[in-house]
This record gives sequence, structure tokens and C-alpha cells, in this order.
Amino acid sequence: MFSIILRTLKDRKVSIAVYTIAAVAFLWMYVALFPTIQGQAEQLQGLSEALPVELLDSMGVDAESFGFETLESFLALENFSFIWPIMALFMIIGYAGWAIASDIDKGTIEHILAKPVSRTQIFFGRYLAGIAMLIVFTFLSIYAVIPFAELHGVEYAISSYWPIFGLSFLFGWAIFGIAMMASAFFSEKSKVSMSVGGLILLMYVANIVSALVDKLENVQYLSFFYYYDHTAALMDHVVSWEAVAVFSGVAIITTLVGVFWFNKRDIAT
Amino acid sequence: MSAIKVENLKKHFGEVKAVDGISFEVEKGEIFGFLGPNGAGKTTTIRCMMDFLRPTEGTITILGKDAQKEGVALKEELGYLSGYVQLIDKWTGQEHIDFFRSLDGNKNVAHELAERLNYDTQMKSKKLSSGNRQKLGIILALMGEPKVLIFDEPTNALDPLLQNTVYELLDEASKKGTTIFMSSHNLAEVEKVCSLVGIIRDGKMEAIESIASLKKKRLYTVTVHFEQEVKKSVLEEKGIKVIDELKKGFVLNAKGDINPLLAALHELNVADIEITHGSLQDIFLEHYQ
Repeated sequence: MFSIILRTLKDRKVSIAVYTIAAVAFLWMYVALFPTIQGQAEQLQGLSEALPVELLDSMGVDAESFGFETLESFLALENFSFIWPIMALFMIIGYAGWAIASDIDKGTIEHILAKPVSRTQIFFGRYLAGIAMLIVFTFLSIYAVIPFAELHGVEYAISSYWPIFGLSFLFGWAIFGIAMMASAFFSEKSKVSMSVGGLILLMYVANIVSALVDKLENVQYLSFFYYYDHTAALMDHVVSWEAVAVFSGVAIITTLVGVFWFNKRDIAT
Repeated sequence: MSAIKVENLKKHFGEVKAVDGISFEVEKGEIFGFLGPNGAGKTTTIRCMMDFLRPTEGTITILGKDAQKEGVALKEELGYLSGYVQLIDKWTGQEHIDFFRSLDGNKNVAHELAERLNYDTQMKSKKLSSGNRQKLGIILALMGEPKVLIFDEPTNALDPLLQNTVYELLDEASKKGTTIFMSSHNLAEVEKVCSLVGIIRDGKMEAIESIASLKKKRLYTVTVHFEQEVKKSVLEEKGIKVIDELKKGFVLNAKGDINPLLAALHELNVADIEITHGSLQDIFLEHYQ
């Protein structure tokens, strides 16, 4: 299994590098912009107060914490509300589709299945390589804030970044579990992307709708974006137990279903 | 104990009965040809033997191990070649060899095989022709010197010279005691390489024959032209089956041993002759319908 993990990481190194560099570049841009934004904090704050609370809620922004006084509040609003999750989703879903479904589609999986390696080892070889990629991506795309803040003379609260790292990893892990399960179900990468991408989009819409329509408030519990409270993680250094339980639970259950199905299914190209 | 034993194997995909209750045995060191037209169920059977597909019913035992329950241990002793070798485009041949070797750690004769097949292991797979892809597939299957080889149409995309090299490799492996199970839709290839033949059609095993017995069932189509006019009745009197008449010639049909036909034609002053093997489909139509 170790050979599979190493070989997978070697094959995917360019992809990991591209996503990580892009995420780090965005982070650098926000840190570099922050001193200018901070200088106009009062005007921006005034502008934001004119926005309906529901609209901010629907974007995953806590109206009470909204502001541009600190780097963390700015990053919560600009980076972690949209850019970071989008990049993580593209990387995770793309990788998971490649990991199993694409190999079945292309027929390349037959070589490895013909060797004395169990399907469980193949699944977890690819799975653990994906987890390693997720950790590297999450760590660098978050902790790169420290050298950039130092470079631009911006104050930062180092204690804020451990909670957002933990929360972001759990969010990514849950999506990864679902995507790997889909990859074990399907024999085409595009089906994995469509099904998981569609599900995430539905969750995003559910979160917006629940913020805008009182009657549908409870729909928020079906959305990962409700639990992915990046503002609380960055500003209050809090990751709710609810979020930990939901993300870990989904990740573990979908992983087990995925490996069970991969063991059970016919593999034909 | 048979090296390969398949009992009442069935694989159904919904209503489609791809394989429907086939049974056969292959002895150690034997080369078993699995013959059948496209869509007969050859590849499905092989994929069940490799545990890529899970049988609907039946058991497959290879080297005394259940192919489904003990598949991982069994694959330490199996070499497999797909009919259409799919490779990882970004890897070179050497990277394929190194990676798959790392998974089984068996003895590795890849270098010798590459030399013999005249294959450059440093080329990226995406640049390989279909013949070279097949060569790499053969190297990957044979490099661990497995006890059982399962080949799905091994000479696909190979030129006649390389086909002969593959036949030699199979013959050498068989002489060392390796059991070989190979599918083909090419009767001539099976006759050349195998000692026993299983004929599958529509998911059912039609017959299991020795090569000697199969040769008796060979069909020939003979197109012959004579130096002078020859009447059809002359040929028919000699027991020759005429299919079509040509200008100063005929299209004839022959079964089994062709020598009596050639001897009869020799007496009639032949100007030109062309002999083609009847297709597998023709043999099925003649003998198994």
C-alpha cells in the first residue's frame, strides 16, 4: 500500500503544487491588500451596515463580527467564505475522480488488480495519498499567512489559524469522503464531478435559502456551509462540536461505504 | 489436481447472460486455448478468473485457491494480459515495470523480455504504438515468472514476427511448467500454440477438444483455375464440393484433411490455386449448429 501512496503522490505532485500555489497566491494578495483596506475600514463598515443581515448570513458572514479591523476578519470575509472552499473543492473532487473512477474508465486499474494487492489496499492507498494532499494544501494555504503578514508589516493573531486549519481540514475531509465514495460507485470521472459538485451546489443553495426564508430555517442543518463557520474559527477561535461531529461522521461513513462498495462491485472497462 | 478448475461459472448482467454455466479444467503445464467469436463470453470469463468481475454463480479454483476468496494470495502466482493493454500515459515503460514490481516483489526478468521483444523501456507510454503497448503488457505479465498465465488475446496488434516471438515465449513458459490459459478468436493461432481448446459461444461451452481433433474440423475455401476447361461434374465425381463456378475455375469447399483434394486437383492440370482457412464462424456453422 505504501508503494501506491508514494506513486500516487508522485503522479499528483504537479496538481498539488498548482492548487497550493494558487491558494497561497490568493492569500498573499489579500494580506498585501489588507493595509489599504484597513485604512478605509470605517467607510466599508458603513457600507456593510447597509446590507441586510440575511444577505450576510447567506454568504456565511456573521454580521456581528463583520469588519475590516483585523486581518482575520478580512480573511474570513474574503478568503475563507468563498475562494478557499472553491479551490479546495476543485482539488478534492478532481483528485477523487481520478483516484478510482478514471482508472476504471481508462482500464489502467486492471494492471494493479492483477497484482497481489487487495481492493481495500488500493482504495486506502489512493485515499491516504488524497488525505496527505489535503493536509499539505490546507496547511500551506492557511499558515502562509505568517510570512506574508511579516513581509507586509500586518498584525496577525497566530492563535486564530489552528482552529481554521482544523475546521477547513474537516470540511475538506467530509467532501473527500463523499467524492471517494462516488469514485468507488462510478466508472467515469465526469460522473464523480457532476454528482459531488451537484451535491455541494445544493448544499450551498440550501444554506442561502435557509438564511433568506424563515420557514426553511432548518434546511441549514443539511448544508456543510452551515457547519463550516470560518468566522467563528478565525475570530473566536472556536470550532463547534457539531461541526466536528458532522464532518467527521460524514467522512467516516462515506469512506466505509466507499471501500465496501469498491470491494463488492464488478470492475469492467 | 488441475491447475485451473472452473465449475458451472455464470455471469449475468441483468437479463444478459454473458457466461452461462461453463465448466472446464486445465492441467499443470498445459496451454489451453479459449476460442470463440467476439461477444461469446471469453473476456467475461477471464475477468471472473482474475476476480475483476464477481461471478453470479459457480466457482473458480486456480492452483488450489479460490479465485474470489483467496484472490490476493493467488495473484502472487498469476500473470495477466488484457486484450487491449491500457497504460498510464505519463509513465515510461520502466516506471510501469518498477511500480508493478514493487507490488509483488517477484523475480524480475523484465530486462531480458524487453530485449527479446525489442522494446525501449524509456519511452513514455503515450508515445507508444499499439504494438509496443502490447509488448509492455506482455513484459508486465511475464516478468514475475508466474505459475499461471491468463492471456486475453495476447497477439492483438502484433505483427507476424512478434506474434511468433510471443508463441515462443509461451512455449518456453509451458516447458518450464507454467499453465497458460489464452483466449483467441484466431483458430490458426490456437492450433499453433495450444494443446487443448475450449470453444465458447453465447456464454456456453460448446466443446472442449484436443488440437488433433479440432484439426479434423478445419474448413478450407479453395479457389482453383485450370489450364483447360474442366467440367463441374468431373469434380463432383471425385467427391469435391463445388460452391461457385468461375471462368476456367471453381470455388471449392473442403473439410478436415486437405490432401485428398489437392491430389485430385493435381490430376487436372492446375494453373493457379488459392487456399484460405474457413473462419471460426464457418466452423461453428458447420459443426456446432
